[in-house]
Amino acid sequence: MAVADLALAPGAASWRRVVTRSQRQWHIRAWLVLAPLIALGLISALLGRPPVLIPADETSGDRAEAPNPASKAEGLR
Amino acid sequence: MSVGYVAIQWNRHKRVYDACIAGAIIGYLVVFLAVGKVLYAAPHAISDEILAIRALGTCAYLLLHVVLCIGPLARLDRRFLPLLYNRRHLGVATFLVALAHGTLAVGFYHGFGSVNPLVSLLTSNTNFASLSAFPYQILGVAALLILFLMAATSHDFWLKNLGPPGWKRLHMSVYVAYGLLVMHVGLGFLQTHRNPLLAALVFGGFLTVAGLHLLAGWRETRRDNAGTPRRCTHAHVGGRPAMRSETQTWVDVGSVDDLPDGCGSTVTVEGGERIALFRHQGCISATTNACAHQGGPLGEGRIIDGCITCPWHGWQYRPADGRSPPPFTEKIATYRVRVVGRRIEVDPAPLPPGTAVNPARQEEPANG
Repeated sequence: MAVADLALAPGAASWRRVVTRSQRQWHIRAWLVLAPLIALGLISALLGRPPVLIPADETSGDRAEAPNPASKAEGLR
Repeated sequence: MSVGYVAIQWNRHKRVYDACIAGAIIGYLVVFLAVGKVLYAAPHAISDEILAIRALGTCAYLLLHVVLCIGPLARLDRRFLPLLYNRRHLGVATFLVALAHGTLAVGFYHGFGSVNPLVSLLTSNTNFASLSAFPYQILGVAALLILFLMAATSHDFWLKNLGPPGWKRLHMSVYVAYGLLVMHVGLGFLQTHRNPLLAALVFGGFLTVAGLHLLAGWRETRRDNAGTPRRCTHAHVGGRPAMRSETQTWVDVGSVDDLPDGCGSTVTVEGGERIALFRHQGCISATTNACAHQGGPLGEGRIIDGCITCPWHGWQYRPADGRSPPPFTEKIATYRVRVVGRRIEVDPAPLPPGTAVNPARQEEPANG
């Protein structure tokens, strides 16, 4: 943001004493831009998740079978 | 304030604040690890390292939400102001916890190969076009760098050298860091953990932070727009000419009865600037609303020990001349003020910082 865009504080002699009002307005605008972007990103991330994979033992109906040792390692990831 | 350089000006409030932060972080980590051990019991057990990475990551994420909520909450309700006083300490704690999370994660997932762990982190996954396999770790690294920059410049030394506006602008990058972290979680943890409660928690946290900021901003804008006082038509008080030049214009900013003794109030004059009004021992004073420290809203503060006290960090100024009491040397702009009947009127032209102004007495109209 250009310094000239900021409203000078009462009695201000330089940009170092810029009043907070313009900063707060900038702050609100930042949230008006950021909030939809973050929401959109998060929704896209959730919708873009890969489909849940159904374990082979569930599809075959053989649920009594002991888990594959490899599937134990899956939990370590 | 401005006398001498001290690394941190410790006081009891800061010690208690920091002890509470440390206690809360340790308590959270202990509870998370204990509950995690129970929830992730065999056959779905996960290693202690992964549990620790998750504990630190969620702790940092939660802390950042608290940091981001304090500002708007304090603007919406004064009871949250004590939390604002040392918010920087909370920010630094957030960075340290996030750093521990990042270090542990990089060491655990990238530290056992022949490639440098950081190189491995940045180059092992380049699926930027895929949402489900996106290299979300890079988002975390970017957020951590921003948090580092903020933690490193959190001291008043940098505030003074960068100037309050520049420092504030730099520290607003925390919102970018927050956005990156939301996506770090959304494209990372939430891709493999399908529990809808987790997604609801992340989304709820985001809605809370964004909602509070927008609500506080909306209320402030509405107050500014509604509170712009009318310009007075009379140029004289009690038959006497005003002290200033003929171009002086007084602005009606409200009734004496609406200004509680010992408290401040904020008015917005034409041109959009805010003026802080104070009533103390029957006298009305007006100063700029921006504190010389971080631009805190003085009008939301009160009079303590005869001085205007900023609600953010307690910087003080004498109502009569806008100067900090000795040995401090800060100055803020003052305004001429008078009381006509029961109405307060302010000359919206600011005086140079530190200019003495006779306070208006509420019993009778007075000239500045």
